[in-house]
Amino acid sequence: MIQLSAYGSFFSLYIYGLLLVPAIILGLCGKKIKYYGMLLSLPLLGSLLGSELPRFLGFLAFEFVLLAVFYVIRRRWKNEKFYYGVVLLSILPVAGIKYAIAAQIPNVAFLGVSYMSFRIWQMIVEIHDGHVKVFSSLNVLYFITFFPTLSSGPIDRIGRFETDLDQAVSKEEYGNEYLNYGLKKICKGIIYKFAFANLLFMYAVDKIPTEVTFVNALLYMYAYTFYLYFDFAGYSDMAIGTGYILGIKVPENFNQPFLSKSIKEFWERWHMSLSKWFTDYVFSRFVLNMLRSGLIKKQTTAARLGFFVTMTLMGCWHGFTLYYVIYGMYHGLALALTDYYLKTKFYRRQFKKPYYKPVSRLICFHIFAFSLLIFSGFLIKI
Amino acid sequence: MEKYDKIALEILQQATGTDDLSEDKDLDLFEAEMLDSMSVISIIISIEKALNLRLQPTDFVKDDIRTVDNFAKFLKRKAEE
Repeated sequence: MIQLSAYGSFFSLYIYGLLLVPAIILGLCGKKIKYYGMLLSLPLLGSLLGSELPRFLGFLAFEFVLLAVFYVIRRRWKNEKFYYGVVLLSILPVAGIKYAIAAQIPNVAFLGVSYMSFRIWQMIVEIHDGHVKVFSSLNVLYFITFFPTLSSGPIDRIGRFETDLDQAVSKEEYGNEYLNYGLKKICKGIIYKFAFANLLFMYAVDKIPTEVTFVNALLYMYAYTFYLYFDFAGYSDMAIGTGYILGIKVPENFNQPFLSKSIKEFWERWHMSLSKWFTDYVFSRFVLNMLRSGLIKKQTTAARLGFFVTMTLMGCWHGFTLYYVIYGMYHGLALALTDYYLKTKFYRRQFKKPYYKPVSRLICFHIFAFSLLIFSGFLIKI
Repeated sequence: MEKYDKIALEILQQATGTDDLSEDKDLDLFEAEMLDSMSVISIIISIEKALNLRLQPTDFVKDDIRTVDNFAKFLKRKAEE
């Protein structure tokens, strides 16, 4: 059994490259790539998961049956309590796995559990909202386990994904919009991850002494921030590029995040598929519930509480470890304060001045970098 | 269409905190930085009050609220569904 990693080794890239050739040929002949992609999932998922495959399949079977049953029932009956019950049932195994990871119980976790969960929960909400008109088992399974994005996203949406799957794409369109762009993304991803991130890790992150002093923490903060960006953006680009070659226009994850002038803008440029997911499925619904039920009367209050709750949940999703939760709460607080700041007279008077852009970018960068210092776990020895 | 034009205008004026959007019904409100994610929520609540229609954030796309005209067309479509 050949063990592959999700874009983590040149060997994996070589194998992917070979396996994508038939997809490219199909695309350039104007044929559908969907079934080849689905077929390819079988050996690739097997190889990526290795010994974790049994529990991956068990989890997938459970969640898939839950989705199918919910879809069938929802078509005839809309009940909020039942909906929340399904959501809870779906979250339970994931929460259990996250707990096991934090408690260091071995042989529980598996590749992709965090990101598959988003796709599953997104489907549950869409089924509840009545947006899922047809339930095609193969499409749904492919969507949840889509191997280019299995390990760390970007997070797609079922509606958008299915449209891409069944869309007829001409040879020219495939060549220009899918293949061309896909190859560029893969090249950029390789440089970001294998060159920049790798070098940053080997010669900076790994070289800084672990004793927590101000200087060490500062150096680590800068090194880790750039390392994480190049590693994650690189991975995302390779995932997006591979998706495109398979005929799926995977959503973007990064858009020059370090140009952000506020932490609010930051989350619109960093890990975009995640922040959009949390905005649409957690933040908006929480705030709407608070306002509709009358528990909170002012929209700004509901929004600021919403930021805090949403980001704390985001932190928890990373793991049930203290510094992940603190990381989440830090961002919740930062977003709430930024929301207040952006409405002040001071801001309205300053933001057009020439100094504002560079200075705000520098400050925003540091606000974010510090959060990553917490996230990295470097400070836990304090 | 008149009814929805009026409602659309009122709702968007409230969401953007401006007094007069009637001048340019084709103004791209996102480009003009007058709408953000919180505005969307404000719009949903306003739609509920004005048309007794309960919508979710995923019931519409950015284009549906991008201009006053687009929004009026969207409201008409949703109300008649």
